Parts: sequence; C-alpha cells; structure tokens
Amino acid sequence: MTEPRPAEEWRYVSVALAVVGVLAVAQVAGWLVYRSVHHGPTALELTEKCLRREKLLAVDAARNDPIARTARGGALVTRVEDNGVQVAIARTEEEAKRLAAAYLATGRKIELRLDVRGNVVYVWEAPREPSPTQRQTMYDCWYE
Amino acid sequence: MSAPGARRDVGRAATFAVIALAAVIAVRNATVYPAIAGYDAAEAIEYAEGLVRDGTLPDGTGSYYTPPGFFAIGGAAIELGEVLGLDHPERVGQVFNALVAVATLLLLLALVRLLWPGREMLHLAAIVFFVACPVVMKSAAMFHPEPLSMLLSTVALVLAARMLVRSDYRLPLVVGLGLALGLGQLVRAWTLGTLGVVVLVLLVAAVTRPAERRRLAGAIAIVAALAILVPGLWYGHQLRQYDSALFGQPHPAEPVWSRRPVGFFVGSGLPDVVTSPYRPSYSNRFVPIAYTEAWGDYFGVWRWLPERGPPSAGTRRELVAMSIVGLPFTLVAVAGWLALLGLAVRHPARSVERQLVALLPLVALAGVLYFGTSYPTADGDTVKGSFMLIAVPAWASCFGFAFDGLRTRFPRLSGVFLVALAVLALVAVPFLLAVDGL
Repeated sequence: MTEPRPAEEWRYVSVALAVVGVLAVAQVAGWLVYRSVHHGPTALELTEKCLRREKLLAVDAARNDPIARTARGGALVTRVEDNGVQVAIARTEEEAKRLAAAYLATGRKIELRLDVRGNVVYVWEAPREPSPTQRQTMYDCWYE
Repeated sequence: MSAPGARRDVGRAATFAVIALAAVIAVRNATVYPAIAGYDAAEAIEYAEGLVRDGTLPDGTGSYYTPPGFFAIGGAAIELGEVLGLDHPERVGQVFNALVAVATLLLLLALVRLLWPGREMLHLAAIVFFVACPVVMKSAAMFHPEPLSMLLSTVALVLAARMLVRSDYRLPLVVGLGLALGLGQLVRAWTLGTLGVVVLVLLVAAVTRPAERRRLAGAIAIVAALAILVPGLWYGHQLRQYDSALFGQPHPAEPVWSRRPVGFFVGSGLPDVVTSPYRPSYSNRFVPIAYTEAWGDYFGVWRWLPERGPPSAGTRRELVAMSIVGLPFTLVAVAGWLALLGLAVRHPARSVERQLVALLPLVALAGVLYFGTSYPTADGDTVKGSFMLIAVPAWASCFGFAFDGLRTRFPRLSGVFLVALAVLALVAVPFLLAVDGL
C-alpha cells in the first residue's frame, strides 16, 4: 500500500500543531478578556444562590454573629430542617482554622455543632450534631 | 552519533522497560486500592455476585443497563477470592483488570508496530502516553467493566489493522475480529463506537482497493453479522425489559441539543482546570471535566473522597501538578489526531489502517458528549473519564505519531524531546500509585 512520506506527514503534523497552538492561545486569551470584563460571582453569592434556588431555603446575612462577620469571604445564615446554621466563608484554610478556633474559644460547647469543610465554617444551632441530610444540604451548596 | 540500529535497540529496550514498570504498578495498585472506592463499585460488586451466585441480572436497579460480560468474570473472581480466603475477595477481579490493562498495553505495542513499522521512538512515545495517562491506571485498579471493554476494543483494532496492512482476509482473522467486536458489546456499550469505526474503515478500504473489494465485502459481512449476533440476546433482553437496548433511563423531555447550556460545550474551565482541578469546580463544563478525569481525579475516587471534604493541601498540589503534566501530552496527542484525520480525509487510500486510530477518538468523544448531553446531571457525573477508555490506545497512537513527527523534523532536538517525555512521565509516576487506605 502507498505510505505517506515523512515529509508529507510532517506537513500535516505541523499544521495540526499550529491549529492546536492557536486554539490553546485563543482559550487563554478568551479567558483573560472574560476575566477583565466580567467578575464572576463570589463563593458567598454562589452559596446564597444555590441555597435559595436549589434548596428553596430562606437566607439572611449573619448580622448577629461577630465571629462570622469577620470572615473575609462573607457569611450568611439559613435554616435546614428546622436547624439554624451560620455559614462563614474564609479565603484560605488557615483563616477557616482561625475562625473555628475563635468559635471553640467562646466556650459555648460547640464542638458537636461546628463543622469545617475546606474554607467554609458551619455552626449549627441545635445542641447536637446536624443530621446527615442537614449536613448534605449544606455540602450540596458548598463553594469556596 | 549512534547508529540507527543502536537507537532502535535502545527504543525497544526502553519500551519494554516501561511496559514492565506499568505491569508492576498495575498489579500492585489492584492489591492496594479499596474496590469500594471505585466508580459505581457497590453496584458492580452486587451485580457480579448476583449473576454468579443466583444467576440473576439486576432488575432495573444499579448497573442493570450494563451488559453482563465483565460481571460474569468478576463474579467468578469473587468466588475464587472467597475460596482463597481473602478478606476482600473482589481483589481477584481487580487483579484481573490490572492484567487486562497490561494486555492492552502489549496490544497497543502490536498496533503501533503494524501501523508504523520500524519507528521505535514512535512506539515508545505511544506506550509512555498510555501508561502516564492516569485514567488507565485508575480504571485498572477498580472492579469495573471498562478495562475489559478497552482490551476487546484494542483486540479489534489490532486485528483490523493486521487485515488491512497485510491484505489478509482469512476466515480465522475475520471471525476473530467479529467476535472481539461482539464480545466488546457484551462488556460495555461504548465499544459500539469501535464497531462503527472498524466497519467504516473496512468500507473505505473496499472502496479504495478495487482488487480486494470482494474479499473485503465478505469480511465486512461476516464481521457485522458476528458483531450483531453475539450481543443480540442481551440487546433483546434489554429491549423486552426496559424498552431500550442501551440505557433506559429517564431524561428531560426537551431536545438533546437544548439539555445543556452553551457553556457546557465551549467552557474551558480556566483557570480552575489547573488551579482547582476537582469537583465541584466547572461542574457544568464538558472539556475540563473530561480532561481532569483523564489526567487527575475530578470526582474523588483516587486521591481524595468527596464525603471527607475537599482535597487536602498536599493532594491539591498533586492534582495541580497532574493538570500541568497532562497539557503537553494532550496538546501533542490532539495535534497527532488532527494530522491523522487530515491525512485520512485528503488521502483516504493511503495507509487506510491508520484511519482506525484517527476515527476512534472522534467517535468516542462524540459518544461521551452525546451521553453527557442527553442525561444532564448537576455534578457532571455523566462525563466520567473511564467512558473514553476505549479510545486511550488510539490517543496514545496519535501522540506517538505527532511526537515522532516533531523528533524527526528537528533531529538536533530529538534528545530534548525524549528527555522532556521522560521528565513528564516521571512526574506522573507517583500519581499512578494507588494510595494505601484511601
């Protein structure tokens, strides 16, 4: 059978490499342009939108929690299956650890109610561990 | 400067060294990786046990839409594991999958030798790609049907390539090809893509090789008949039970093309595809999920488990490293694929057999894209990397083709390319090792 000669093969490979290179550069350039004109939603906005639209929960700002209010990514409160929960979104895991330590230092025996997932700190209202479904509802709307 | 013969020997030795290393890693992973952590593991084990112990298929539950080929073997493997007194008898099924992946690797070598004889560095590059692409080692460690479907699909590619390269249409070869394609469908429906590609390439050969047309027409008829007959009973059963031979699951009523937003098809997932390559980043984007599933652990089955929270800082670093390692491999493989597609379109009569590896990635991508679009889920669960496993040997061939093209075009940089390939592969190796006690 007739085989393509290496020189002819290279012609196709070089064109294909150029196409792939252009596509890759276009993707990165497109992303840079998009990022410069469009600031995406924050983790707090995504969490709030998810809780409202997908879980149909009422969401409010965490006004009465002085620790949550210091979270650099913002904070909110909601209620899942009759159990209130404060959500404080940190920017880094270290900040999340600091927030958790601050809660623990309040001495309100909140070990059972406190949950840290990545940069997000959850403090539940009921004096027991949240149920698996309550916890899963919040994890489904976990953004950081 | 070393003689070409010596370079060939070095390339061949390196190829077999990589295959040996891959075999050790695959078998070791199968004895370490917890079966239950794999994709749909509980359903797979339940299916296999029910099939072998009670002779029953799942009744509309679990993986009922998956053909029973692997589960029959997996169930027997579990029985053997119990006879051997293993704490986790499903390990025997996992070791079987590891050996299947190694067999596929050997078949890949046979395939690239048939398609590009004497190009040892091309063969080496293809083998390195296949081993370094984590989706292979991940799947090979699991109790899952995909590795077996990849093996049967690759058997079909090798047999079809051999027929076309040698113009050899003897009955045993043709029957073997038909059986491989039929048995593949008894393992996973994705191998329908391989069937389509093989038949299409044989048809192209029949059109472009007038002297062989009659023999090719006979071969196509036998292959098609066997590929339909072998899985026929299974498809008939599924149609009777569930009104669908393939995947009788409910889906949204709207047309397929409007079940996903445009962003699903065109979104690149930048920068998260590099900086945070794990769920739930870019959860509604096809390309970055498929990429991360191939080169990392998007869904959390290999290095982290979603129920334990997001990946740790160390795991994140590993996932980011793999996202970067996968980029040159992917870009060169895509270039090789486009070049082979271009050659197939412009010169369909030349080296028809190479069209097998040019068309399979296209068909596999189209299949996964169609499935992911038809059955939309919020977390991208219908875009698993293992769904494209049958195409990995073809992608590896495309990578080898473009890599060798670069190397031969720039002979002075040949050493640099080879060192870069070795470095990328070495960076990937730690990620290929399953974690003990995930």
